[in-house]
Amino acid sequence: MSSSSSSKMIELRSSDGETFHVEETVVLQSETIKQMIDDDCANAAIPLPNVTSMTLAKVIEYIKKHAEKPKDDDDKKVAEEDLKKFDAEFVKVDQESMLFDLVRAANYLNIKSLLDLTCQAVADSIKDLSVEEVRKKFNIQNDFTPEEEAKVRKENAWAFD
Amino acid sequence: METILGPFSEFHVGSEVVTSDDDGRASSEEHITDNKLPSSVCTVMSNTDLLIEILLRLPVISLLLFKSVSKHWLSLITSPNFTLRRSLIPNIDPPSGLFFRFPYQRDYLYDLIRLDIRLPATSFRFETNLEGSNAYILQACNGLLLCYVRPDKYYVCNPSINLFKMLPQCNDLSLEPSKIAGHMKMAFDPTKSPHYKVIHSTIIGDDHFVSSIQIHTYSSQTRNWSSSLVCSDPIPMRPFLHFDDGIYWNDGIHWLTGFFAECLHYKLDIMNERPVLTTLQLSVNLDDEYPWNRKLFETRGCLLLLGMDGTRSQRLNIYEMRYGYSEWSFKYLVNLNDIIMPFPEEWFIGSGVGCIALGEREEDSFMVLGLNGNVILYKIVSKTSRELPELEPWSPVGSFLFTACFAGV
Repeated sequence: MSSSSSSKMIELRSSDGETFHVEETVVLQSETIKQMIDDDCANAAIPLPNVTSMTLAKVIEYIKKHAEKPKDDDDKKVAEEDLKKFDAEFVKVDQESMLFDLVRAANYLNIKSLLDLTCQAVADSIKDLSVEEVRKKFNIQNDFTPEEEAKVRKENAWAFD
Repeated sequence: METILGPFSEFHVGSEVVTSDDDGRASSEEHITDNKLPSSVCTVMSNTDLLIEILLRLPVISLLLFKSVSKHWLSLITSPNFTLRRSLIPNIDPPSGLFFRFPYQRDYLYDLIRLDIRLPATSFRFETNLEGSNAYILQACNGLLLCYVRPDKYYVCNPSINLFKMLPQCNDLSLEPSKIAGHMKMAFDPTKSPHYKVIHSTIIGDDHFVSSIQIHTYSSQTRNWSSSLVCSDPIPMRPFLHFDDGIYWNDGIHWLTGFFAECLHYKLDIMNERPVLTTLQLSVNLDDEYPWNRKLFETRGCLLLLGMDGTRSQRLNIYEMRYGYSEWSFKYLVNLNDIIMPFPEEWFIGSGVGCIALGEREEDSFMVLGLNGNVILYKIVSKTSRELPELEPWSPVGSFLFTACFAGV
């Protein structure tokens, strides 16, 4: 299956006009791009109007790392550990907005493992916050009346089938 | 259908109501339009699908709290589709609290001691008045509670979301109700199945001759009891005398028996149609003559064995067995002299240790101990301890971990 030929290159163009050349085997992790290639729409540079060059560079770093194949079983264990470390470091971004850029890009490019990783990182960053801190962080307006809010906090409005 | 909404539990979380600075329009989905926030944050948080993806990855306790962030969040978190999806995510959150039974009460009352500081100090009370009698917690298992209600009812409860289910009567089980309780065990592991089982063992025979061990199993999947005999030859009565010490881990009920140095570890495998009893190697030298100085615990997918490091020692050894392993490995040493000096003469693990919980991070791991009438939460790694509210002299035995989960009952 693996196209071992020193692989066809695919050209991607970010929203700010920068182009990136990535091996086809690597870029196939994106379901969106895979679909384009399958539909034969990838002969010219693929425009990605939703992804900036900075974000795209990060995404490519991620899919390149995740495309590495371990040689044997011993190598596999080491590679798994290595990948875990890489993922943990990968989501430690300087600017929090980059994390959200990556969520967006992973969603748009439909790269499931990257969406999982980045959504988990966002969740981890808010899981220990109080309700007030969550509202403040995302500037969410409290649209409950005090009575309603007290009721929500008291009540278990769970619907189960 | 038999699921009823319980009369207890108030998740009032945080006491004060905070009013937002911005006055103005009640918003629908697009509350996030502030230019102080980076646009990518706005885009992601206003995209309901992406917001759901993020919310799904939160611990359940955070979801219970975050219902009151906004009407939009409330509607997402409480939608049946969301709770169903969340309940299928196979992970176990760390415990958020401890249920403690009030001592010297004729009725069973439990207070929740919070481990998550976002929970209110005392307003979550487990006080189920079911059919005129309060529930007695028999077992906590990964978020679900098995409860006994006098004189002869058994309930499975999910205290996080206020669900109760009375188990149907098992016609075969005609023992004295109080005798059944101790031999009733629950098995629930959301990482393996959304369904739970309740297991009961009966020794058939008399003091001189045991003909068989009968196991009754209730499955929440089939909503029925079934019964079968234990697979083992010869019929081992002796281990089943201690079945009520059993805890659930890794597809089986585990317990220890034996006196002096001759301690055995049994596992009743409950996943097969016919339960199989096996004896596991203890492989560690529990250098103590008393059987009440050793105890098994289950936490976050690990089985733990707690034993004394020598007779009349003040050191406790914690051994660990992980999934897929059959040997114990040494995990922690706990020196009781770190907690209290001088150490009480008469102190045993069996009556002195309530629970052990391994944390998400090692430094979160703790155990609950009873010492001189006080209940102490001891952080195993940092070796720090704090006394839990000194209401009355409580016993750590009868304390149960509260783990938030969305599992149905």
